[in-house]
Amino acid sequence: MIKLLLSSLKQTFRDKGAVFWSFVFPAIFIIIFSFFNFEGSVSAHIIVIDQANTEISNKIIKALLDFDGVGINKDFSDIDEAKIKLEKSEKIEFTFKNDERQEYKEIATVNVILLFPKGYGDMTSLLSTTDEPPFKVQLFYNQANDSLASPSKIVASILDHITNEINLQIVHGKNLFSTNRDGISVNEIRYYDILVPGIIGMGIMQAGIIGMASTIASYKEKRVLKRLSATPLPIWKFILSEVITHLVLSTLQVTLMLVLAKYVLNANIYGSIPLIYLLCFFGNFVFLAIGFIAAALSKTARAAENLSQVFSMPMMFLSGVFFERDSLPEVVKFIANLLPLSPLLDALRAVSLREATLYEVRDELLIVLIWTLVSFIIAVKVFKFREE
Amino acid sequence: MKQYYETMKKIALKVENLIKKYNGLMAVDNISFEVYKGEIFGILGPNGAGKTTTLEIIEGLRIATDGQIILDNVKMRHGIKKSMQEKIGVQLQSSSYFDYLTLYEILDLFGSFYSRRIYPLELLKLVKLEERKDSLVKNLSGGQAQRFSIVASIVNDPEIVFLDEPTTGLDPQIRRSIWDLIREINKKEKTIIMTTHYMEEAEELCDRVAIMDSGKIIALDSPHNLVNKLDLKFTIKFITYKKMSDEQKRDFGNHKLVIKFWEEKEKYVFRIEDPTKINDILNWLEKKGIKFKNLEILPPNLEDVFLKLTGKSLRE
Repeated sequence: MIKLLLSSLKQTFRDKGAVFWSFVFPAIFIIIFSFFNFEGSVSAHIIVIDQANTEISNKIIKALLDFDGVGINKDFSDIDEAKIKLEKSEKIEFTFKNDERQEYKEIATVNVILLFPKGYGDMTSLLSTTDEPPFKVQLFYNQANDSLASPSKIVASILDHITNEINLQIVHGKNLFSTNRDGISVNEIRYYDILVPGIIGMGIMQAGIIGMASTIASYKEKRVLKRLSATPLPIWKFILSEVITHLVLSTLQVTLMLVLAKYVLNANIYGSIPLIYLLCFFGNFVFLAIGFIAAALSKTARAAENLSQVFSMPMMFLSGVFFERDSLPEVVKFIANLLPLSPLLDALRAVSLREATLYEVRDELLIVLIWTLVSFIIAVKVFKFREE
Repeated sequence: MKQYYETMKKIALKVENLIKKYNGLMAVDNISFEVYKGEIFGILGPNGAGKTTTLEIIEGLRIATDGQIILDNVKMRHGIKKSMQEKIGVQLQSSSYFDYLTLYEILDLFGSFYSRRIYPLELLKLVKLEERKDSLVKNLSGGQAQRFSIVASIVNDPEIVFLDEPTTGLDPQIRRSIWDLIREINKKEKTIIMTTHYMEEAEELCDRVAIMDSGKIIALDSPHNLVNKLDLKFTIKFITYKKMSDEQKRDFGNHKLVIKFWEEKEKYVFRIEDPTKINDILNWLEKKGIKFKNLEILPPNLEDVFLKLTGKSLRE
């Protein structure tokens, strides 16, 4: 069994196709994405118009400047003038702070306007009895650029972050502040942070389905399986060694993705890394079973590869590898939610972005498990080890 | 051959009333035979006769519809058990081995499946491939790959070796080298059961031959007995210096000893029952002033046996 496993590992690493799908293909994705400078659009260049000029507004502006990638320009007092700059995407001078907390100036494109209206942070207004938070800022931004990681959302989240702290400091949690971009708590999440769990999930799926399908189909096509069944070796041992080989490969793949994500994309993974490995480990089985089905339904290795593309392509685009499924039309979303990659990606993102625990992603894991069982049963039913 | 007579009658394998039906079609139609220890047993027949199906049932790769196999006093219905595969060696028709393992690694891996084994280098030496132990199968020539495939079937030092059309698709010279290899393996006291659709191969190599057609065994004996038992004719071919005239041909065809007469390109061919009477024919030709050369006298062969038994040619 050990010899069988070693042979299987040896073969996998000598097989350029397997190495390509497991390592090179997802790595290419990460590297290509690193060429698009999402980082640039993520940094917020804010024109601040402080009509309130209170202690609190000043404090917030100072705090904003402390964030990485945030630049502030305070040269405007007229909102309409500032809006023209935003609409024309004009480049003006912003003040940034570097890592040593020294201020420096840089020319950049305006992407958000932050307006503190008169009376913002004026403590006397706290006497009013309305439920509405008394202090409201106004954010202006380019709607076309309203992705999850758009500058306006970044600013909104930073504001939430700052004002939460001030809330706690002065009124022990009573909510005094709000922004009109309210509600969306994105905790400094950037596009890459969303993308990385997606690409990890895609990598597991691709390597699992295509890897298993092409390996098994080629053994079938070349009658290696038949040759093996003429020996006393129980065929399950052979399949098991293939599966273990794949799990080793997959673990290496996830490691490579995590390293590239961190050092090439500078993406953040907030949650537990061991938990991500665990999810990936369990995620493998459903795709291996699907790959097995593809191998069973195909006569040649090439046909199996094509069929596994048919299985994996819809998941790649619908399950939300590159974006979250929220933006899909309802009907499509309903179908997309049913695909086996979807709960895996949800779980990976929940852990990676929101630091979810194993218990919190139990529903997703359960769906993955059900999928695994279903596809395993189908695989066993359709695959014939012995000819008639 | 000598060895075969000495150990004769010790039965290595017995097949009883084997039946394989595919959707109502009889691929193997109630066949029974015995294979003796140490012999090379051939199953000869055209494509689709049921040779491979029979072999694969015995090897445990297919399940028989009915019938039983007896190996080492163990009776097994429908085909042999996994545990009995320890004792047999299998070479499949057109199957290949792992693409990314070297010859040495493949033999080492396959050997690890068995409790008894021959070491890879020893096996490679037998087929003169020890120099190529680190090559992949895809880099071997057709003959080398076939030699490897055959030697891989004896990794477990089996009692019985099954070879399914071991020389199909190889050119004649390589075919001869494979025959030598099979004889060499046979000398190591291994019983060999092989299928073929080449009658020369069966004649040259096999101690006994089962002739199979449409799922049935229609004859089983040594090649010599098969030919002798049937009342078969000799074939004689010759070339004349001057073409025979139509009248000469008609007269020749009507000669009382000539059974059948026809032309093959420049050759004249006829069949004769008793080859000792050939002189009468030659005298007749001389008397008619027909000068000839390149006289060939061909004894009847398995091809003729097959033709006689089934009314069709093996090659069809």
